[in-house]
Amino acid sequence: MPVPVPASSSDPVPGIDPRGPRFGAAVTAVLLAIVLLLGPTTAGGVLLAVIAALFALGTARGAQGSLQGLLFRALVRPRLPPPTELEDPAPPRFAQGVGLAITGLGALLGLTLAPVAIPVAAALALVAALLNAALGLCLGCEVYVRLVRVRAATARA
Amino acid sequence: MLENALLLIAVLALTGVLGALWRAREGRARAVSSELVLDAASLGAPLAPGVTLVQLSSATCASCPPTARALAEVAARHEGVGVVELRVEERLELVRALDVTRTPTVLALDASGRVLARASGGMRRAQVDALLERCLEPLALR
Repeated sequence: MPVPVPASSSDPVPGIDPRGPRFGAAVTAVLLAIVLLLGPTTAGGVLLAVIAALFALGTARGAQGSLQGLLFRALVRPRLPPPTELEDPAPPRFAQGVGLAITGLGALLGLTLAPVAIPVAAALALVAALLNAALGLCLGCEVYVRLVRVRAATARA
Repeated sequence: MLENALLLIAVLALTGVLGALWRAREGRARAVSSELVLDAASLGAPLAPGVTLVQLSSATCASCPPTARALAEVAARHEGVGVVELRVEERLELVRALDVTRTPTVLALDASGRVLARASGGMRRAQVDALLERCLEPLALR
């Protein structure tokens, strides 16, 4: 799981428009809903793999550099008033990594061993994407501490 | 196809329930009954004469900076209230001792470091006020 490195004060990261990742999550949610409608089929698995690839791009470049992020900047942001505040890009980037882990694993398992992994992974990712888009739920707030604790416990063992 | 559509509807309904639960819990103060004490030494910072608000933050937490701003604003309006922000990555021993599972987690300590109340999740100013009220009321009665 890629864990973003906190920005050092000597290397300031410009803040991003917080509405961008939420718009991106809404787009992802629509795609994940289609995966659920396709069910445990090859078509569903392929679309889930495409979504995993989108998450991979967002994990590598940050949510603002994902395809959804570029879409937001090109089509949505020009129609909105300027943001009232900017946010650190690290939390949405972490969430992209969690999305990559869930959808990547689901697509891999679903297309090889167990097709049921496709709707299971799509359902998990859909819940997270919808809560993010609608309420601003932040995966980095909810799961990061648990990951750090597990990692520290494993390191000690 | 029908069962796929039903599954989608079930997932959407579940999301609604989870969202409502999450929202009800987010940033809500609750009293702590244990005799847990965090003195200045274990905190690594001096305690305020009234109430010290301790925020545990992480690098991947979007609601931490706005919560830190809310704490600072509310603390500035009260005499003897201080704020300490700690990073979970650097204070794993505290994270384990306090069983912190999400960020931000905010603890309210009295002048001797006893944990009076805590809240987790992003906090609005009104919620910080509510957390502080819980701690200041018993002090005023004494």
